[in-house]
Amino acid sequence: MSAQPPREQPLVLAADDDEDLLGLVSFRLERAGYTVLLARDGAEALEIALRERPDLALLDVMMPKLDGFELTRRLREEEATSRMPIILLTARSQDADVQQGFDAGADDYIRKPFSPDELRARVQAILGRR
Amino acid sequence: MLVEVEHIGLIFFGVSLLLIVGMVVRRASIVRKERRHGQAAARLRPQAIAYVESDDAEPPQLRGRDADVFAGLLGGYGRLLRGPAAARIAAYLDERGAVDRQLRRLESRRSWRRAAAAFELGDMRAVRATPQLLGALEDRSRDVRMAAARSLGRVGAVEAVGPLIAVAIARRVPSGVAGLALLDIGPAAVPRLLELTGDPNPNVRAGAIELVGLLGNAGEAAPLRERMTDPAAAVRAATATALGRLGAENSRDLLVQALDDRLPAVRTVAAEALGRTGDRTAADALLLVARNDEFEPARAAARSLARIDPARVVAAAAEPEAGPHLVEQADRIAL
Repeated sequence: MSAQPPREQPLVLAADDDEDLLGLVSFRLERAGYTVLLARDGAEALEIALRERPDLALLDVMMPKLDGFELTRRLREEEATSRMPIILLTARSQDADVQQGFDAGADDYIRKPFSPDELRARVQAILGRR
Repeated sequence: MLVEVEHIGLIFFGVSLLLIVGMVVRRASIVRKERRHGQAAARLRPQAIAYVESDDAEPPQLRGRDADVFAGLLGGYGRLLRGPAAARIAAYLDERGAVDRQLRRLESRRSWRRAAAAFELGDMRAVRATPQLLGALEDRSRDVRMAAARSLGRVGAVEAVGPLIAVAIARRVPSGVAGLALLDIGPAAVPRLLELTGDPNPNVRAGAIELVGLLGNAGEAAPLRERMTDPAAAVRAATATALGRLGAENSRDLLVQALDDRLPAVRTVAAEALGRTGDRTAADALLLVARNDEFEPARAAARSLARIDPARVVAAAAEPEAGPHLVEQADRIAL
């Protein structure tokens, strides 16, 4: 993996097919000092992740074209994104899927409905560790 | 005769033409309305997000369509958020009469309106609508009851714990919907659930114990222990599962005793629960069940033993009296 040039602001990829959620996530993270890239489906997220190599990806589980689990697996297989932290967004009804997310290679999960403060704190905690 | 037929044909043609023109006009009007709504939403979205996300932001002064669109945007965000942001949205919507409007709709004669209102009240986190939502659990329409159950969970109504279990047991609301609502209420529901573990109805006891296992912590396991000797098998099984999940100290002996329960279903659950506790001192008891019991408990015991002490499974599988379940688990471990 070639070295990434240093970025002024950490780059976060947020992928969800819900425009409202993307709006809330990008507002909160941008205000916290991150640059946010948005994707509306799993395939677009994969393409952006491979091209831009974000510092962290926030992925919805239920997405068109490529769900969050499969996308996580694919990202883990690619050298460029194999070590990129991944946080999955899951609905309460998908509780049983949390383990599946970790098995696929996710680092953490956030349950919907979510608290913007918790989202920022988790992103900060993961990026701060690295 | 021919002239009459021609007249009737002309009338039909004219009516059809009018209908088509009417539909086209109506469609154009809907498209125009949607476009204006979309434009207003795009314009107001940044203000809505800023209002939701800022502790001190004042809501914009809006009228007419813009006010409706703004409230709609906040309602959408309310579905996605919890914490102070969700509370701010709830307060905004309540101040502007949205909760009262939905409470009136909840009394509509049309069931779809009542269901939509019950649903909306949950998304608005309308805590003060709790009494009406509790009433809606008894609605004659299943859709309304389901929407009310979901919304009682969304507003975190602790007083709904008993009624939610009751409607699930009576099959008036699908148990999955009621269960999710109870999970939404969260740990605040545990004290009431613990009271219900002594309910005269064994189904209520079992349901309450199962939920304590999901929502409680190890310190709340003590009141469950006496339920391991409950006359109802469903209650004993639910208790074994809950104790296994809570991972409480002193549960091990009770679960080992439950491996001797007269019903295979309870023995199976107890074996699974011991696997979840990870207590290796239960290995001897599990090994005995894995070798000698009926299919389901023996398989569960072998799986649990493989989980807490794989070396013991491999050694036991090599013995002549091992039985198929230990051999199966040893094969899995070797993979």
